[in-house]
Amino acid sequence: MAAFHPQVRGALHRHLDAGGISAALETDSAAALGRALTDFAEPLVITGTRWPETAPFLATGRSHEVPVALLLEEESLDARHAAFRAGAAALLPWPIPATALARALESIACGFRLLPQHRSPASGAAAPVSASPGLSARERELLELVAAGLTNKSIARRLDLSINTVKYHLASIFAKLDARTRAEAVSAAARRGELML
Amino acid sequence: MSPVSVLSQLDGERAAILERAATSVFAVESARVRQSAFLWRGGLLVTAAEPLEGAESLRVLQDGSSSEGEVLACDLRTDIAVVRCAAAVAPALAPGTTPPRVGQTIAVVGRAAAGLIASWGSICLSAGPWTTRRGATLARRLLLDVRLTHAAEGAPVLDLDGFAVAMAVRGPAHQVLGIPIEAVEAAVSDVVAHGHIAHGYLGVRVVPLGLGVQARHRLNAGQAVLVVADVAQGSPASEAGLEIGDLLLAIDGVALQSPERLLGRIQGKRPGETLRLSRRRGSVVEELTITLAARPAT
Repeated sequence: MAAFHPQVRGALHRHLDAGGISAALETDSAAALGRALTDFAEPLVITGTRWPETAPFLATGRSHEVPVALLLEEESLDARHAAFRAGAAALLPWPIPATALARALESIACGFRLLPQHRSPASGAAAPVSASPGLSARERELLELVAAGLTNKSIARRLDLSINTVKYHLASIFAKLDARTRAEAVSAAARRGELML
Repeated sequence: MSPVSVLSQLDGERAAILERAATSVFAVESARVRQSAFLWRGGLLVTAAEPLEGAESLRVLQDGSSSEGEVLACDLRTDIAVVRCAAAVAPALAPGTTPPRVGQTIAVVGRAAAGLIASWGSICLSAGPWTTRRGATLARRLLLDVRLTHAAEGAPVLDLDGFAVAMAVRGPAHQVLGIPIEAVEAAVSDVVAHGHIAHGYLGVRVVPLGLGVQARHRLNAGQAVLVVADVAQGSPASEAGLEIGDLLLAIDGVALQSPERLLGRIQGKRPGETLRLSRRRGSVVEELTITLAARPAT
């Protein structure tokens, strides 16, 4: 764990403890970090919380081929882009819940990269995974019924539409998903993460 | 008085089997194809789904009579289509009571434009359970040693007592496959009860996540795993405790590298059947056994 500010290190320490992870080293020096990294088999570096002050930690971690998680206080898109381009394995918001931090560290230890979550201002909850390239809510609803194995006629009855409207929607779905058949459309939607399985 | 040879007696018996079945066997015709179908319940015909894909109505033909049929269900996974035809009122075929055996003599009886089209042969493989190319799990895999023209696809496979043991369909590489009669019965029951063939439903949306070499080793996984992107409320997935962000590694012991494979495995099963999911959360890998539900009607 590397961070310039003692308060940040202290907070991180408590967080890691809560997440069941122990920090083998706490330092505010990139050089000390570099020396330590040669001694650990599977280290992870967490640096907080200002970019680009944290860049030296990131660079040190990278030079030892160690995945580096960055905690970023600021919401600047530029900073996030720069840090990600510089090879950060994870960009995490700071402050962050202890469990989320622990899970993120597990993930990057497995070789994943984590991008910052986009938060919707109202709820603070993660926004849904970016919606379909163009599938409307109605089309999704229709596709669910296609996946359930309903024929056009039963879909029309179920949604109180005319058969021609169903066919019109289907044609649009097929075009958007580049599918020729119902089965292809269902597969394509599953592949794009647009269909409940 | 000329003695009747055993062989000609046998031939007579064989012909009688076909004649008895003939009234239950129809030809069905869509805009593109013409194939065979058989009556399974009053007014409900069964035929092969794959050639019919997309068809909504069919002509149902038998001995010069022609009537309208409505495709109620067309399930590509099991290759079973169910067609309603009010005019089809002949006695329905009855299912065989013993599981098909290897080497057992069978007849495939279809209906072509010119009339009945039959082929005698035997079952050359009967083993199971079997997962079809499209991902449906069937009780057994039946390979038939018979000739099957396009016109006879969807025809019933009869045993020597005239009971239907399967539906004959064309498989890859000129194979003739038998769709077990239990699957046919299940499909027709579904259609009668729900209006469509029920598929399993788990209640997750997933996205594939490609893995680097290092991650593959750590996760003991293939080129990709699936990340849970959404869990439907009240679904089997949410009851089993799946959460957004969970990694799905394998289903029923088979590595999960694409959402299509998960889709196939889930929809290939019927509501009430179970599947085993290997789920990784953090560093913990757990094997979850989940009972599938039916996809909720919107």
